[in-house]
Amino acid sequence: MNKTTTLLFFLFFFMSCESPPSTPGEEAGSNPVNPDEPVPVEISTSGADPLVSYAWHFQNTGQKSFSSGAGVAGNDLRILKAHELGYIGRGIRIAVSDSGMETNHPDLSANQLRGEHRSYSGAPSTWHGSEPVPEGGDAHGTAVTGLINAVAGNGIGSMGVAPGAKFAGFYFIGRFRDSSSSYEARILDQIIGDFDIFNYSYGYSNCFFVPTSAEIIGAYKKGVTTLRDGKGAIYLKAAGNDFHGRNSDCYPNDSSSYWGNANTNEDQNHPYLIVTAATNASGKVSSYSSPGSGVWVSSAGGEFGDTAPAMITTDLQGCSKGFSSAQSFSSNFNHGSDALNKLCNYTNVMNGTSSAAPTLAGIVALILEANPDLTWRDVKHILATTSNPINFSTAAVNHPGGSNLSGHVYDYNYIVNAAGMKFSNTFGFGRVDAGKAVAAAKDYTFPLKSYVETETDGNWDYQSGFINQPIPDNSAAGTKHSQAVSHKLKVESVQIKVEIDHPFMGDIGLELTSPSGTVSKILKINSNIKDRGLFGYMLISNAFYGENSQGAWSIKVIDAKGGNTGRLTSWELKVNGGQQ
Amino acid sequence: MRKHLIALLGFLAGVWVYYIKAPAPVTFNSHDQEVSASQAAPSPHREPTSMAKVIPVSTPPADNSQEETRDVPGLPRGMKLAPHVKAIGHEDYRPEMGKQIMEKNGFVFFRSENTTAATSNVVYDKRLDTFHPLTATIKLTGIDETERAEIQKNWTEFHYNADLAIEYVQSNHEDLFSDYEELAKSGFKVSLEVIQAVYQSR
Repeated sequence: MNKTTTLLFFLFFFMSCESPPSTPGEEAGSNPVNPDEPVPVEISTSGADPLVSYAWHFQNTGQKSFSSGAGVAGNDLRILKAHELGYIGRGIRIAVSDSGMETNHPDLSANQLRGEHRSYSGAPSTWHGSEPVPEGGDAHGTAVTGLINAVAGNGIGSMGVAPGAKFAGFYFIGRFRDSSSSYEARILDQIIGDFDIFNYSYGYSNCFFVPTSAEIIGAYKKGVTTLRDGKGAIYLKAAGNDFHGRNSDCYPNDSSSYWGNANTNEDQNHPYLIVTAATNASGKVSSYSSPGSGVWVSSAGGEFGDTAPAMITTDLQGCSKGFSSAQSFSSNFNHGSDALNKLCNYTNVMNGTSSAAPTLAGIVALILEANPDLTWRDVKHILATTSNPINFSTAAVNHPGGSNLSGHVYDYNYIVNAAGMKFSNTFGFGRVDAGKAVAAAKDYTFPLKSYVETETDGNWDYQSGFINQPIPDNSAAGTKHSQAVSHKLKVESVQIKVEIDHPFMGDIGLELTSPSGTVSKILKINSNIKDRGLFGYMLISNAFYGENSQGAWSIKVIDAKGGNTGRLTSWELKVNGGQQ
Repeated sequence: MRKHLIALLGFLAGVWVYYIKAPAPVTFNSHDQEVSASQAAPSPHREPTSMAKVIPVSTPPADNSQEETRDVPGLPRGMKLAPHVKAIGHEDYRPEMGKQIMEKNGFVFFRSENTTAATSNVVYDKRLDTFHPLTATIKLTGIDETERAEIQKNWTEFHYNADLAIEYVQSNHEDLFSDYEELAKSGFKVSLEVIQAVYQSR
C-alpha cells in the first residue's frame, strides 16, 4: 500500500474524536510522547473522498481533472506533504468574504462556524449572524470555500486544503445594490473580526486605476496589528484575471482591450495583504492571471476545465444551480452525467485567481497550525522564502501584444535582487509549496526585527516635491528622478505615489530602481489603460525583499507611444521593513 | 483515553471491512473524459481573458467632457458634480426618467432636469472621462463614542465602526450637500462617498 492510498480514516478519526482529553496535552491529534508534535497523518488521494485524486493541486500526476487535456505531473502545491506532517489547519478560523455560500452543503456544513456568518444587505444591525444564502445561482462563494476547507474523510466529494480549519461565510459580493447606503461601511466591516485568515477572491477590473480610502488601508493595518492577539490576521487577495482584458468592462461601447496590472487596484498596494497570482496544472502561469509588482506568490488557479484542468471543488447542490446549470460548461462531470457527480454537488470548472487565493488560504492555515506564534510578517517571510520560482529565467519578456519600444525591455521573467531573492511580476516569489512552508514554520527562528514604515504622522518621509519633468515622447530614455533614503532597513516592500500629468496612461511605463540597482517594472508600457494621468495613487513593489533600503532610489517614467505627451510632476516613497 | 482506545479498535475494524469490501483504489486518469467542442466558450463566472494578440492603440476615451459640471465640497480630486446627470439601479430605471447616457456597475446614468424618483447624484471624473454615483451617506472619521452620541441627537446613523472610529451618517440624495456642509461646519472631518467601482468575483 503506497503513501497516497492509505488511511484517510486516520484523519477522520483524529478530526472526529471529540472526547475531552483525560490528561493535559492529550488532545485529539496530539502526540502522547510530545504534546507539541502532532501525530503524523496520512491522507489518501484516492480513498474515502473520491474526487481528491482528480484534483491536481493536491498531487499532480498528469490527471485531466475531467477536462480533455492533461496537466504535467509534479506541478502541484505539495499539500499532501504538509498533511503527512500532521497539519490540516486545526483550530484556525477563516473568514471567506465572497458571494453567498451553501453552508449546508454536505461537504462544508461540518466545518462552518455557526452563528458567525455575515450578510451585507439590509440594515447594518443585521449584517452579523445572517446566513449567507446564495442568490441567483451564484456558486462562486461555495466553490471558494470548498477549496479552503471542504470536509475530509466523509466519503464524498473532494476536500479542502485545510480540512481541519473552520470557516465563516461573509456574503459581501453583490450585496451593495442601493446607493442610498454606504459601500465603504460594508468593505470596512468585512476586514475586521475574530478570525485568523481572511480570504478575498474578488477585486476591481484592471482597466483603470481604482483608488481606495485611507480608512480602508487603516482597517487592514488595524487587522495586522490587533487581531490574533496582536500577531495580525493574514489577509489573502486574488491578484486579478485581467492579463488581457476588455475595456468594455469599464467603458461601455469601447471594444478595445488592455493588458492588466494588479497594481491598478490601489486597495491591493499595501503591505498588509498577500496578493496571489494563479498557476495551472502544466506548471505555467494561468492564461488570465494579472501580473504586478504587488504579487507576493502564486497558487493553484487552473485553466477553464475544457481543454486543460481547472479546479475541482464544491458547487451549489443540484443540477439546476451553480456551475452545473451553466450550459457553456459541457463536461459530463459538471452536469451530473458522471457517476462521481450524480447530484451536481461539485464542479470541475472553477478557476481564476479566485481559486489561487483560497488554496493559499488553506496553506496559510496549515502554517498557522504548525506555528501559532507567527506574525503576519513571519507568514509572508515563510511564503517568500519557501515558494518555488517556477519557470525561472532572467530573460527579457516582450510585450504580449507585440507593442514593444525599441531600446526598452518590457519586463523580465524574473529578477534576482541584491538579497538573492528571485521575484517575478507574474509569479511573485514563486508557486507556494505547502510542504516546505509548514516545515519552515515548524522550525522558524523569528529572524525579522522590529517593523518600520518610513512615515511620520501619516506623511511619507521621502517626497520629491514639485519636479515637473517632461517625459520624452516615444522614447526609451524616459525621465528619471532620485531620492536618498537614510533609513537603514531590511526591505519587505516599497510603496510609491507618483503624480503624472499625461492624457493617456496606456502609453506609460514606470520603473523603480533600488540603491542596489534592482529594477522593478511597476507599470509596463502600452497597457492601453485609459486614465488621463496618475493622481498619486499608492503603488507597491515586493521585488526588493531583503535588500538594504539606505541610499538613492530612483524612478523612471517612459512614454512608449508618440502623440500624447506629459510630465512627471512629483513622487513619494515609503519603505517598509525590519530594523537591521 | 479508554474512549480513544475503543474508538481506535472500532476504527481498525472499519478499516478492515473497508479494505475487504472497497473497490480497488481509483487509478489516476481513469475517469477523465473528453469534452465537446462547444465547451470552448470562456467561463461565464469570471471575465474571459482572450490570449489573442491585439496591439494596443492610443484610443481616446469617449467624450463626456462637455457635460456641465460644478464644484461642490467633499469630492475627490478631479471630480465635479454633474447636476443634470442622475443614476439609478438598473432594475429601477425607466426610459421616461430621462435619456440614458451609460450603464456601469449596475447603475444606469441618464440626463434629467427633474425626476421625482430617488436617484443618485452623479459626479464627472475628469481622469477617466466618465460618471460615478454618489451614495447618500456622509463619512465622519475620528469619532469616539461620546461624539457619536452627540451626532445621534441630530442625525440618523447608518453605521458606526467602533474598531475604526468612523461614523456613517444617513442623508438622502436631495439633501446630501446641505447636510454635508452642516456637518462640516460643526467641525467634523467629513467626506462624501463616490462609487468608482464595485468588487467583482475573480
